[in-house]
Amino acid sequence: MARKLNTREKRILLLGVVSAVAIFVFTCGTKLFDDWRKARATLATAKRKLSDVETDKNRQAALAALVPVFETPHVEDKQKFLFREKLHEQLKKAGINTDPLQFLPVRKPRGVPYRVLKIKCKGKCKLDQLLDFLGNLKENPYCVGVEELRIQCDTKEPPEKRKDKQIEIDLVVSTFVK
Amino acid sequence: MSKGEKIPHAVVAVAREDARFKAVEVHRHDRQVEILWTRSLPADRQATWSGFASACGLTPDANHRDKVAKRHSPAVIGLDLTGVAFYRINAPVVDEHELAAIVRMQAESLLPLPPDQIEVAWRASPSTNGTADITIAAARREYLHKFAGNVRDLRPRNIFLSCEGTAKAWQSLFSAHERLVDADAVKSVRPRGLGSQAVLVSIGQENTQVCLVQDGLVTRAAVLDLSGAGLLHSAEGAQAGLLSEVMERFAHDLRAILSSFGWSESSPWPLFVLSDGSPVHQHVVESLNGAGLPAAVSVPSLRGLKTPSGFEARDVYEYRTLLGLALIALEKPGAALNLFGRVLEEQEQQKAASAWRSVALAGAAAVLMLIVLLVTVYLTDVASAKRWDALVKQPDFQAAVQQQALLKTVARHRPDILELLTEINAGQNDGVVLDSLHFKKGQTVSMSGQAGNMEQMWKYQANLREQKGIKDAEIQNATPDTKTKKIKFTMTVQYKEFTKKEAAL
Repeated sequence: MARKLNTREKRILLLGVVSAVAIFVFTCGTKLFDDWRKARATLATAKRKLSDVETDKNRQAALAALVPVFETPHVEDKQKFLFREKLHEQLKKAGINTDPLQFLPVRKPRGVPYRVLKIKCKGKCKLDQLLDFLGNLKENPYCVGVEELRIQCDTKEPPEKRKDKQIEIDLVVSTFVK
Repeated sequence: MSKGEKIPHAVVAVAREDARFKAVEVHRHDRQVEILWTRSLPADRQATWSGFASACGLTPDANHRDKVAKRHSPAVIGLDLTGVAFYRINAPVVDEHELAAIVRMQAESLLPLPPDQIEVAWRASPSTNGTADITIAAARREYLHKFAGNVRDLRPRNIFLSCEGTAKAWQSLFSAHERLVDADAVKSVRPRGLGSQAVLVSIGQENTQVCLVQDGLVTRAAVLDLSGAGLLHSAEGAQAGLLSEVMERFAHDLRAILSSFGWSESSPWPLFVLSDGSPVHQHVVESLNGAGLPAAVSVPSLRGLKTPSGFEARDVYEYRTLLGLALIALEKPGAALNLFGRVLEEQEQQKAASAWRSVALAGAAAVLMLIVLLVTVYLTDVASAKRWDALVKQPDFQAAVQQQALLKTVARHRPDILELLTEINAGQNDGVVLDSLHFKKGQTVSMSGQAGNMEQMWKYQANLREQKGIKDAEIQNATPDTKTKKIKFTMTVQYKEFTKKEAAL
């Protein structure tokens, strides 16, 4: 026949139960805490990635206005070819006569995830043609931007006679290569 | 009252008496007692102790905005004799602990209920012939708890038996030798003093309280049905027969009570009928004397009392019990029969236990809520992490993000040359013609040109400075051309972020 536990036995039993519960809680708690920490890290990363996405309509519109098209950069040779062809086409379309396009050495600037390839062109055109070319340049899906532009008028001509006269231009435009 | 407890200088005594709640605040000065205020309200069915306490300003009014309990003098409450029984026993003179054990044993045999249902208070009189007379007051514990609960809002310092207050008031504030109606009674009335015993008859509006008082302390008490209101009604009814019959019955009942107190015809105790000077009381005394009971009226006096204006001797009679209770509290309340010592202690313990229970319950609830919160946050975080991670890992999403990042990079490095040219030509620039322009990322934009005069050049510079994208328009040099008589100048400007050094690719 079972006997009743005395106070000391009850205390030991209680201590044992409390210890067992504490061990269980600690073990499970540690695992859960680790899971939680991982989950929070994953969540933070995902949130950071999502926060990089531009969701503001006005900013999206401004971005689209400034960069309406741009193709993911290709390897150097391919990008060189594509960029030069498109640039040549645009210059021709604007009616700008240039010397042969000249590639500048590829370099890797800091803070940009791609290497940069630049093309230099030198030529003569009317101011309207230049403006037309610059207006259409953003439609070039390989062009990053104008790196340098020099415009020089013929200073021998008096200002009132310069209209419709040719101007000299030195232009450097850039693209990204993989 | 514990030994260490201080005797207060002022108390508020509250009791329900004559179908009214009454309260009085008394202040003790060196040799004088001052009555500060009195208050009385009918104790009808709706009236409660709490309501009366609130009406007296002793507790915050439930409707009042100020819920903070007001500070007031300690309160002493009177318990009427309804529900209280008195016993008197003899015990050998032994030390207090042994006496307490003897009293407990004898009380258990006397009381009609089990000891755990009864609360007992006792007091020993000075011993005679080796034995001590013990006065025992007993009441049902449940009744006392209920009463203590009812008066809880008053936060009573003590709860005494009202009859003890009446006895104390008679001893301190009433005259015993005035207005005696019978010469024999005069002879029989011994002065109150050592060893003297007297019977006090206090006729109230609802009943009549009879107390045997020895040395100013109540040793026996009982209640009779005869009320002051009934007597007045009989007297005003002008029915001599009815009044006589009432008085006869009263004398008979009183004699029976006296017998139970141990009255002896051979050595009778004097009877004092407390009176405010009313003819009805006078008539009662006459009737009692006629019935062979040596009675006299005892009227109140204002001697030694400082009272508020308009407070008369009859008001002392009206508030006799409360004044007596206050005087007990202001002197040595330890001598009074205290039925509520354990009851109040238990209630305090219950209150403390209840407070602890509340704290423990609130703590447990807080811990539970915390656990629920943690579990919820954990589950939410895990679920969100899964969902968001899956979303950002989708190829379409990644491609879109990369494309947008690329566009942003391009936008960051793409100057709007057309906008630059527009801003350079903005405004009225009469007489100014540009000869050349040089833009290169990472350098200032330089321009050379000619102007008709210096003012035109400066105006052009001012126009440039007003443009949003252009900053720091500076004239580098300006020289007059002797041939054309114009000013040739060179200017530099900053264009947005593109002329900063780090903008160059």
